[in-house]
Amino acid sequence: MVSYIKGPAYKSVKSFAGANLPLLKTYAPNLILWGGAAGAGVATFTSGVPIFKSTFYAKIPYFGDYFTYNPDPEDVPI
Amino acid sequence: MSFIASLFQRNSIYVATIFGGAFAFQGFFDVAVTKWYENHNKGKLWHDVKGKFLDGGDEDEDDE
Repeated sequence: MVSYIKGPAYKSVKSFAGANLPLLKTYAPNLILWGGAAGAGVATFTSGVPIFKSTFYAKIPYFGDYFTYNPDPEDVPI
Repeated sequence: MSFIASLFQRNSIYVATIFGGAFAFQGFFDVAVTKWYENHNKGKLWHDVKGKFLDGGDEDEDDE
């Protein structure tokens, strides 16, 4: 005996503002890479800002010394 | 696919490479130019002649 069904059984994925979980999963690698690119852009344009230099770039291993300014104390005007 | 070609496959990696390269290059370029300049002008820079002025500088001014 064949058991017929009345019609196709549709299921909807939970979504918020057109975005749902499977879609976000496919976007994730691209979004992560763009986040890294944006971070590199911010780093490039803030590499001369003193607070960025002291809090982030001076802590880069080996190359961090470039971002610290250590003049001879007798050369600093009072 | 070569390493260079893999940088062009995704626009995000391409942009990140450009910004990361710019961040690294400005540091290396600054250090390289400063080293060349200080080597080219060796003996004329403040940190080379500082001892000469700081030791006898005050006495010379007193004499004048």
